[in-house]
Amino acid sequence: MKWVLIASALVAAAFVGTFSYTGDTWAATNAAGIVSLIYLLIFLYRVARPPLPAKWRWWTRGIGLVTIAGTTFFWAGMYSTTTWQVETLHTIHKVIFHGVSMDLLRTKGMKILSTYATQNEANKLSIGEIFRKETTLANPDSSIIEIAGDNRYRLFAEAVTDTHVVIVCQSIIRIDGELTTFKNFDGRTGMTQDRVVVTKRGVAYEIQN
Amino acid sequence: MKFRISWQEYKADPLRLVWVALYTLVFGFAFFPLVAFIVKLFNRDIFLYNSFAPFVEAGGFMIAQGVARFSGKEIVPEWTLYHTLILAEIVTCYVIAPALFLWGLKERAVWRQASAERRFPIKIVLALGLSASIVAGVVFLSLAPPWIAYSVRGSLMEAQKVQANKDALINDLNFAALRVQSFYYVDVREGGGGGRWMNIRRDGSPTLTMDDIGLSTLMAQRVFGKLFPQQPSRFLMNVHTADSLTITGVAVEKGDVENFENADGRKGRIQVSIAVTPKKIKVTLDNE
Repeated sequence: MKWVLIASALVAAAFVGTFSYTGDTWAATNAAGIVSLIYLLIFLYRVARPPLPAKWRWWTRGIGLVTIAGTTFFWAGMYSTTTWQVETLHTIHKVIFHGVSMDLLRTKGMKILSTYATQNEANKLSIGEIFRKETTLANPDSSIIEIAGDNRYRLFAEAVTDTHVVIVCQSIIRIDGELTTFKNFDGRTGMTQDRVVVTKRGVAYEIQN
Repeated sequence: MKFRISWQEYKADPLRLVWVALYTLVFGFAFFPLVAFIVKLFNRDIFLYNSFAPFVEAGGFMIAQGVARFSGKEIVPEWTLYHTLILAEIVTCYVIAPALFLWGLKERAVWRQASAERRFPIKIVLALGLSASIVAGVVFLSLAPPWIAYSVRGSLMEAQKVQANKDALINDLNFAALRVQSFYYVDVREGGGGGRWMNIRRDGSPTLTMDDIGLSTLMAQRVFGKLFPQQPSRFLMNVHTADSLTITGVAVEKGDVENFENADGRKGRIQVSIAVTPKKIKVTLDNE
């Protein structure tokens, strides 16, 4: 009984301690699982001895070890599968972001470039002037051009000059990009962000993070 | 006292395996509904996925968090009832129940070897009755389901790999369409087509090719990263008129139609086409 209480306390301490330190449910579950595995192996070794009859000792050891091995296998499989599924969800999220972003940025960029390329030579406006003429800022005091995707994405005017226009598309909800230290346009860090640069040499789209 | 005398008079063995099975059933029927009721009492929305597998609950919890994050929620690590449940299950399934069960087995052997005048072994009955169903559940779950789980995981990964390949191809085609449209509007002096995709060098010869738009690297590669490494797709451009063309992309993974004749001469691969005009694009899935 004493050992059961001590083992329970150690398992609980491993779980709570790891969760407090990392905030990760899987890490906490794995830490508690490792402590209970050590306890089970010791306990199995101590029990599978006389006075348990020889036949029962072998059965106990056999079933015990097979169960521990199977559970460890299942546990590790569940860990890797769910971790992979969560990462896949995140990847799908990123793919959706970049797909939507490319579409939004292409529409904006191509509109500026096509207007620039097809205007009369006599009264030719610069790329920046075309952008200013055709774009209404969502908020006149900010550089937000458009709020899209149910307030998930924002388009910002990063730079507007006579020779080039840079438009940035950033995720507003948390979608982590590949660089955690990447400085986003709105001051946050590590979020996905794409941009398009429009010059008279063309529209260049780039995945920034 | 009367009961004790009776079972001893009949030389009954209250720790025969058939009796242990009966105790297990009785305790099992009483114990699990009680646990489920207590859990329901605390939180109506929560339910026990599986009382013998805390790692299944941990996995379910992580996926629920992933889905919540996908929906735009910011995830703050905090202790929830799920954590209490997971911890309770680890302690119950891997510490208390095995200890009770193994102790019960050992004491059962001692009790059965002892000489006459034995009291009814209530502690052993309780230990075995309460723990046997949990131990049986843990043993059962350690045998068949892991193999099923690995097999399901393999199928899932394969399906995702194919989907990722198709998404990568579509993304790259969209990127190619942007390059093509951009080329159309750029002045000839700046290296563009000056309003055409045919006779782009003004010497009566070439039409636009993939080399002219410089699609050498996969844009989607960065997005999919290590999780779904992408093999390069093949792209073929067919310029119909000065302002209309089609780009056909052939991916590496197999599509739905096995005998599909791909544009590059291969068979059965995923193929997507994108029809491009200076202001519009239209994507067609030829073999998905």
